Amino acid sequence: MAWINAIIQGILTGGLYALFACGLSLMFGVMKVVNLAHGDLAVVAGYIAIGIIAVTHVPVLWSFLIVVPIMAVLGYALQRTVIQTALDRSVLTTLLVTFGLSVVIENGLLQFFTANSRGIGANLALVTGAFTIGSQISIAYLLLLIFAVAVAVLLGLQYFLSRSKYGRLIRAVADDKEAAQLAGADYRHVFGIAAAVAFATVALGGIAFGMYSDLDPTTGTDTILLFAFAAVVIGGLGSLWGTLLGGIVLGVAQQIGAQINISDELLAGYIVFLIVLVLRPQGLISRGAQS
Amino acid sequence: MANALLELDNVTKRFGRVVIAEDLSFAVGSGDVVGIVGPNGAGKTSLFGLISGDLAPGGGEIRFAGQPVTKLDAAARCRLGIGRTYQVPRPFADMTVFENLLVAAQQGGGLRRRPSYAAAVQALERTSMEGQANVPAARLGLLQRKRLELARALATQPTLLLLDEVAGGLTDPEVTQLVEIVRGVNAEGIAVIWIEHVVRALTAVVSRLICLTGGKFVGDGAPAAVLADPAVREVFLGTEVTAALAGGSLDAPAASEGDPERSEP
Amino acid sequence: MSASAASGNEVRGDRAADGTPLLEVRDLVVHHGQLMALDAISLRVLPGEVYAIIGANGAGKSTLLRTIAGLHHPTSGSVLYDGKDVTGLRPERRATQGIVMVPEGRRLFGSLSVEENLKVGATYARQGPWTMERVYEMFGWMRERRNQPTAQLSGGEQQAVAIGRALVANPRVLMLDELSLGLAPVVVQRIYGMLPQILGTGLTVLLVEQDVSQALRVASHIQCLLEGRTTLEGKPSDVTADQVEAAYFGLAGTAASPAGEESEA
Repeated sequence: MAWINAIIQGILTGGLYALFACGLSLMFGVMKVVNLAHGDLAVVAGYIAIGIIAVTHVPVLWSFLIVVPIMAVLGYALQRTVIQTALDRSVLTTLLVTFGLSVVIENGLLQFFTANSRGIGANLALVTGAFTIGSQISIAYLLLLIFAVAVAVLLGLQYFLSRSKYGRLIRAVADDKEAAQLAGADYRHVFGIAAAVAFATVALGGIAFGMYSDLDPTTGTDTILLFAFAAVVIGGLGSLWGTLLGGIVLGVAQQIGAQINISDELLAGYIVFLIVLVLRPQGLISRGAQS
Repeated sequence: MANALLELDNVTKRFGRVVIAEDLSFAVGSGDVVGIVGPNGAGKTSLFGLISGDLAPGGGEIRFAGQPVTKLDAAARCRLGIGRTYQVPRPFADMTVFENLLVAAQQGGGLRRRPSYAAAVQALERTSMEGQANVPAARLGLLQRKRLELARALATQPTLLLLDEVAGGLTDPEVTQLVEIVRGVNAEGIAVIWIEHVVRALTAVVSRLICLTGGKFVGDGAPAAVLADPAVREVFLGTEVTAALAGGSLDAPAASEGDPERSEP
Repeated sequence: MSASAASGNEVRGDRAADGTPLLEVRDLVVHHGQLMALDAISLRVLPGEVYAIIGANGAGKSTLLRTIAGLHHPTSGSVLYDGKDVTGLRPERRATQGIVMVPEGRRLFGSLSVEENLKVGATYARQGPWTMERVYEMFGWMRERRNQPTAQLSGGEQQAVAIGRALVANPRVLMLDELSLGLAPVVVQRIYGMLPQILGTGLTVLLVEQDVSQALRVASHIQCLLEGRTTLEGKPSDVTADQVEAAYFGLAGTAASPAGEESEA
């Protein structure tokens, strides 16, 4: 029974990981940028939420509505300035630049918020409660909610990419940005939109994580970026729903590892990551399975 | 051809659905100078790849100096005496010109240290690059890079030299210099096959011209005759112009039919 | 009016009397790295014309079109559109102003369906007669297959979609880069057969074509490039086949008359 609980936990955690991963996958798929600051941006979102709640005392669940747009705008701005300039040099330069960004963000957070970890607390039953089945299965409402949000986000992304004007432009620019220019599209602007979407989703992930667990300035690179990366690779680069599948596989692997030995939780996840890289590097859902 | 230096027998090569070489057969004798022309995508550079060993044929056989080389890789063929240049010059950027030539002479030419120095110097002289001997290749201008490309091929001690569009982008006097270099090389007994778009460079030095299109040879013979061959003209100029060149005037009926807004005095 | 053969770069004086050009290029010099691709090229395209640029590969034809489209920066010289200097304008701005190019090799968006490709083309469209509906009417087969991924289409069908994508933007100047590349002659004829329909809506066409005869069939004015320079320019009805051949290959001695006026008998 404990195993079933572990698997359920793992599956649901996969939703959180998908929220981390889909933005990373989007930025790489559209502009070939590996954003090494991706995890830190989730943490920034979490800290902004903490700050806003502390200052304005808005209900916790409202923090999403405020922070996500802020992060989206930040994404557009960073993309149009720092990242585009790096892209114009070479794709490899973006690795360096986003790495630098990551260092700056972490140290900035360290200065402002100290190294103490914080959580986004809420005293709602929704957030702290769980429902139980028998004595061994306990599913936190929050985790279920996060999973539901992740699925909703992915559905929304799928709809956005396949039906909307900007979704189409994003796919077109990803295919051939020169041909898109010839059709009148400024690819820098389209990249900006893609970055805005990526930052928005990772912001959701950051706030969710802050509610589920605790954030500190290094959580971005220590945890979030690695999990996002692993989920993308396991699921398959270029596949939106692959990030959910990858997240689930990662989550389940971790939970099973934890069942075997509590300190093997992370290791188990990374071993699975390694196995996928060696045996099927294109991921479980290979390219072409896009929405 | 008896005692041919290079022979291709029914060589075929495809990339998926695209036919690069279709049952190609031809022979080049030692000391020949052959020019190859053809539209882009016709397979000219791929033909060189098949000869030099960068590409393996799908079928057919290639013989060099009587010996089958179809299974040999590019390095082995180079050591046997097939030297080539590449369309986009690729020197060893961090090494000087002289060092580039040394590598070519030692690895490609199989020369030991002393003789390789002499060979490198000789390559410098043939291409008039003595002044750039100690310049790092990365700092060379385009013309010099093309010369280095040629010099490197020469330093490998070839008996057959494959030149791939070396005249592109050169000014008229530069083209003339290049033609002189090729003449000089050939005078020493090295056979040359030259792919070129700058047709006048070819006609100045080759005794035989081949037109390659869609993986097949369309013309093969004396340059003037090949350029006047209707089949070859058709490849470049199309049906009407070819017909008009054969006799009669160039009628362009669609120019008055197809566009109503054309202003006519 | 007659053509100037191998007269270099001046655009014929009497062309200025034909009216204000919709698209003009003045003394354009373009480099690819250090290689000079265009050497002070000039041209004037009048409204409603079909202006064809011909020439061998490496002559600079596609570079010229890409520079006009804004994908390439000239070293010097200018591009004028409707009297305004657009040399510094980004490619997407030129497209929204009305200069739309169908690039070489089609360049359709591979992960988008036929209709989605058209929709992208229409995203920043100007006002005008061309709609997706109209494109579907022109290419009868397209409507039923509009949801298919473009990779499933034949070369000719892909070319049609590429043209449709450009048309729905409602350009004033439609630029076609090597339409015939990789297509069977019958297909090419059919596509060029659409030109009258396109011109009928008030468009002007500037095209680059490998097949000289095809270009002469559809053009109201032609310009031949060789190694980045203009070797011939005039109306198809005014040029002889010999002049075309001489201009194309750049071989003095195959031309009927190497320089000066040539009046049509």
